[in-house]
Amino acid sequence: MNYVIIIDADICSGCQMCEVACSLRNMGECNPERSRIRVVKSQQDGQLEFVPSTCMQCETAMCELVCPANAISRDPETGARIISEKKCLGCSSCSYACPFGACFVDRRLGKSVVCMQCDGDPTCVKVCPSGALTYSRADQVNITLKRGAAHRVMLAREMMREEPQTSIPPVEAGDNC
Amino acid sequence: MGAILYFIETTLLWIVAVVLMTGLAWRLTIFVVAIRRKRQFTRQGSWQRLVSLTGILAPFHRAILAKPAYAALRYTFHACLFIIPIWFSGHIYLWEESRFEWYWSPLPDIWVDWMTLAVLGACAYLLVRRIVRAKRLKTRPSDIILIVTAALPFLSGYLLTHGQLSDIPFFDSYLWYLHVFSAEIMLLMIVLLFCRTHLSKERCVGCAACVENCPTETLEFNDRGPDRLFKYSHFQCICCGNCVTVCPEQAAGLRHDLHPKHLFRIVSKTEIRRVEMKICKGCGVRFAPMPQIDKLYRKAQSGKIEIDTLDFCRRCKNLRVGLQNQNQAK
Repeated sequence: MNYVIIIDADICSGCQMCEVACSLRNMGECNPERSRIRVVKSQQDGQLEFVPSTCMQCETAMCELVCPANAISRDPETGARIISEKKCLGCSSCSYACPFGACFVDRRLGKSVVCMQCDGDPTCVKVCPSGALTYSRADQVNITLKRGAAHRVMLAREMMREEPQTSIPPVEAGDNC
Repeated sequence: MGAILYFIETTLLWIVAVVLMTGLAWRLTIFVVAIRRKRQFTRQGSWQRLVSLTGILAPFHRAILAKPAYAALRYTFHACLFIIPIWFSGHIYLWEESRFEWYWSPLPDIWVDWMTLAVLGACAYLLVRRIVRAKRLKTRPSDIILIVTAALPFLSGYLLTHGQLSDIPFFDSYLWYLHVFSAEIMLLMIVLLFCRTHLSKERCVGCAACVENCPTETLEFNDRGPDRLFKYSHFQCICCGNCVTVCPEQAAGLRHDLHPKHLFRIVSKTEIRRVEMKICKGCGVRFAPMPQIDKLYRKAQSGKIEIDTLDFCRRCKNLRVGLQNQNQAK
């Protein structure tokens, strides 16, 4: 059974916890540059948006097709794309061919790296505080997204029922916040 | 004349020995320091490192399998270059007579004779090949000088042991000095003759796989400016052939490179290749070598795959896809 990490960019708060946790688990250091999941900041019409992106586990993967060393294969258990460290040459063909910009060559390792879903227990999903990342089966992606949307609609309704706040509590003296 | 000959036989020999020892020690130090710095090799266990180093000594890779006969010739030639001077009975006799009084058991003379003939034959073949195919192999005068210098000590040594030219007075008096002098040059070349990585201009796409797999940081690249520059430092190269093995385009090659100005490049680097970088359509950043993207386009066309994101850098691709998903959701 194939699993994917589902990204809901609407509720991403841009805290970049996933980047830190990913690089800490897989690279052994807190360095968002070496993380396998990226949160990209974009500014459109004055509106700030955060877009997390990671490997989408394509059915026909470009990275697999262009690799000159046949280093990319599927994990038999989770169906995630894994790059064999022994075979990989570090030529970064996969990173240019990937339509999502998911895999990249880590210059410290000299090898290409891609999200391998932490062997079936993704760290980024565990640490995400806003719930923008979900780990689910590939054939249930639609229903998971719909469930998330329904949940958000329910939350909005509850907020509408509550009475709007009329007065802002005064800031106490000496409080820097 | 006599003074010069005496100088060749005594003082020069000592100078050569000192240069050889310090040079080898210097290169070994650089090798150990560089290999420790490289993350890729320190992550391995010690026995794994040993396996990969023996792999360097016996590289049965694509570049060799393409021309097995020529590779066998080169292997025997280089093995003989080391075996003959060390295990020849005459040399061991000289060591025994000297103040060190070292002795080790020599090879039978008839073996050494045949090996010397093999070396001379290989030299003749390489010389003819260099001259006949001068245009295709891009022969420079230094290549021919190199082969002749390699053949000289073996030729003179063979003639000395067999005494065929001792009737001619010139050779009778000077052949010995020719042998010693040419052998001294050979010893110097062990330290000073560098191999150099060549990246062929027609094939290399600038992917930097050779740089990533170089164990001693001999090859480097930087992307500053409009081009990607590949740099090579002569003194760090240990001629392991990793760059030749990994190159996905078979564009890398190791060649002897005899040039006087390289002797003074102990720390400096040579530029060996320059590749233009492609500009991202989205943000205008130079992100990938142009020939590699062209190659991926060709590969995609031949395999009938549709890739429409080859012109974008990683960040733009991340962003584009995320925004597309959002728009679809809305």
